This record gives sequence, structure tokens and C-alpha cells, in this order.
Amino acid sequence: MSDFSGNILGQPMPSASDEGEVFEVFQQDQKDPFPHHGGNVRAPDGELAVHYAREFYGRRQESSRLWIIPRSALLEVRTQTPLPPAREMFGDGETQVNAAQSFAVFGQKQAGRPLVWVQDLEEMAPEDAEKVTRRTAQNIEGGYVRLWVCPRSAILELTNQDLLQPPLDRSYRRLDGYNIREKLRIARQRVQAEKELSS
Amino acid sequence: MTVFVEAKDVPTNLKQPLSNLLLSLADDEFILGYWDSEWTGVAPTLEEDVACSSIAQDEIGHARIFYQEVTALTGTPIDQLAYGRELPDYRQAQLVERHRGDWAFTIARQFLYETADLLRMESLSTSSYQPVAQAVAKIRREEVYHMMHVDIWFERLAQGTPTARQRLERALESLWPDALGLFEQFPDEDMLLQNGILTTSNAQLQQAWLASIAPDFARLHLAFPASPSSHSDVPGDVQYLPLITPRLGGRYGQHTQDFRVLWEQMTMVYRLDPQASW
Repeated sequence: MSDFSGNILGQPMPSASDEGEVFEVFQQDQKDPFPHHGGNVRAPDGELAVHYAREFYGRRQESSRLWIIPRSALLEVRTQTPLPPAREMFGDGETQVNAAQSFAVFGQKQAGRPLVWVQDLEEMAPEDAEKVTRRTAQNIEGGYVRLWVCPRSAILELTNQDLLQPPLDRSYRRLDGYNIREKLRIARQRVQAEKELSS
Repeated sequence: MTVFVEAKDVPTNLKQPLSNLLLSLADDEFILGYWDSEWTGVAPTLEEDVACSSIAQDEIGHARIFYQEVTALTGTPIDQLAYGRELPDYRQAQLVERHRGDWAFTIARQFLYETADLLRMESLSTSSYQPVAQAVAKIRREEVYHMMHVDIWFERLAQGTPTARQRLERALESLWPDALGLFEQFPDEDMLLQNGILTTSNAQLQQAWLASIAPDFARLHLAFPASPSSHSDVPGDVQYLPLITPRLGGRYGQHTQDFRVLWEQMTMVYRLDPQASW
């Protein structure tokens, strides 16, 4: 797996701590047109992050695809905050990566709603991806309050249907899974019969 | 080879051996699932807590499937099978009975068990007893995840801090005799093989298993208590000779003190009132 600790977009979101790294999770069900933000997991690395994402966002057959993205690979663009100077945005010489590549852009239209995948940006330099994202923030359909952009290569994708759409009946994980209703009915009948006997 | 489509197709003389086999499969998963479930709330991280609990729940779910098949054969209610038997009537291998131990012990045991179970399930996927073949097809897809999970942790401990590695080595050393015991002959195994209910003998499975995990142990420089020896000129035809004595008896109802303690716990509520409707 690649190391994304040197964010190619220059301005990583705070993520790392002693407790591992934060990975943002996007999920998509058959009925969803695009992946939307589900939440995040904390994990020592991408390998375990995929596992934990499956547990938290795919265990009950609610997803058919997950995207797991280390937060350090995401650049956040908020339309309300003023733009930082360009130099600051792209890091110093060491972490700077200028190779053209593809990016994924996620957007949030209003506070409280999840970020949703908006578009992919094909083969462009990181600074161009960043500029396009800023324009997108202002221009598209009434605008977005917040956007995230990350290199496509930073997305760990889980589509294994053995993991996401388990073959076994999961009804035992639901409240009525132990035939509680049927058992209650029998118990009530028994109590009723005992009452009638004793009266 | 005759195919048995459902329970009523099974000849009388095969019913007992078959239900013993199903109980072994169910009890292995049930008891292991019980110990693994004890990590709920105390796993190393919150995320791992959920993952581990979920796997434990899967195992108990798999046990339920096999118990259901025993019920179909014998008519004994499923809860009675799970909680209502006396100690000698349980059929799990001793490997799964040991107290969950520390995290390294849990991972070492899961690694030994899951790698063996993978081959056992594969061999049962072509069983002449259709309900088993069908159940196994579903269970195998779920075990993919368990295998991925335990692989990651096994590597992590083996290549982690000196303490992690030391604990893993200690756990493996104590588990090996039990792990070899996982391949104890089932009661009436010959009969099950002749009828195609079993497709592979436990002795053959043990060889396949040792061959499948030997490369992992070599790569991670972990002690491996079986030595390869070639008995023929056929390339790749290697036999593994265990260098230690397996601990046997689980398939015939001999169990450890750890299981007695566990049994007291897990059947406590059921024994209050076995006739109760819950």
C-alpha cells in the first residue's frame, strides 16, 4: 500500500494520533447513485481500516461498496473560509508531489447532510485539482458548503460481496430473530391456561 | 455414489454417525464462538471489539446451522442440543475448549482453527449429504472474512514487539498438541467416508493442513512441530510427521477442566428451567 503521510495536496486534515489513524468511510448501496459519507473508523493502517469499515458500515448488508480514505489524503475546501496563500497550500518541497493524476471530489450541500461523491478529475496536477474543486464549490447547483478532494489512488475500495452481502440469514441479529413473538404467544397461552385451571 | 437430499433419506445405520459428525462441527463453532465473545468490551480497541464480537456471533450462527441439521435427523430441539447436554455428550475438539487466554492466545488459536476449518469446509462442500454441502457453501463465504482478519493479526503479532512475539510463541507452543487433536478420527469415520458424507479422512486433512501452513511458519520464523519427509519419487509428495503427541478425546466426549467451567456458565440459565418457553 502507498504511504499517504506526505499529503500530495499539501494540507492534510488532522488525523494521526497514538491511537492510530482516522479513515473516512464512504458507502454505497444498490439504490444509491453515488457513494456518500458514512462516518469514520480509527485503525493502525489501511489493512485493518478496511476490516473495521466493513464491520461498522457493511455488516448488516447496508452497503455494496465501501471507499476507505485515510484522512491525511483528503484536502478539505470550505467555501466560508478565506483562501490561504497558495504557497502554504501545497506544502514544502519534500512532501510536494506534482505528478498529474486522478482525483475524487466529494461535496456537502448543506450542514447535517452527508458528503456525496461529486465527480472525478482525470489526470491533472494537484494544484489544478485544488483550483477546480474551489470553482466547483461556488458554481455547481447552488454551491457546496464543503468539499473534500483526494487522489483516486488513496481510496481503498472494498467491493467483495462475500464480505458486504453475507450469504447467511441475518435475521437472528434482529430483535424478532429468535421468534420472540411466537414464543411470547405460546407463553401467554400457557399462562392463560394455568389461570383457567386454578380458577 | 448415492446422494442424500434430506434427513429422511439417510439410512438408519448412518443416522448416529452423521449426527455425531454434525455435532462435532456445531460444537467446535459454538464453543469457539463463546470464548471469542468474551472479548466483547475488552478487545484492544473499540473497532477491534466490534470486529471480534461480530466474528464470535458468526461462529455461533454457523453452529446454529449445524444444530438445525441434527434436529432434522434426530428431532432433538435445537436449544436442548446447544445447552441441554451433559459434558460427555459434547463433541468439540479440545482446541476450542481452552480458556480464551490473552489476545495472542486467542489469535494463535483462531489461526490454527480457521486454517484447518477452511480445508475441512472445502472437503465437505462435495459431501453426499446435501444439507451439509449447502450449509457449507454459505458458511465458507463468511469464513473468508474470518481468515482475512486472523491472518492480519497473526502477522502483526509475529512481527510486532518482542513481547507480542513472545506471547504468540508461548501460545502456539501450548496449543499445538490440541491443534493436532483437531484431526482426531470421527466415530465411525470409515462408514462416513464409504458413503461420501465425508470426502476426506481426518488423516488426509491433517496432512493437507500442515502443508498449507508450513510456509507461513517458515516465513515468520516460528517453530513448526512437524518435519517434512519425502516417501516417494513423486515431486511434491511430502509427508509431515508430527514431532509431538496430539491431545485427543474431544470427538469421543473427553473434555478439559476449562470446558467444565465454561459449561457451568453457558448452560446456567437453560438449566434453571429446561421446559421454559422463552
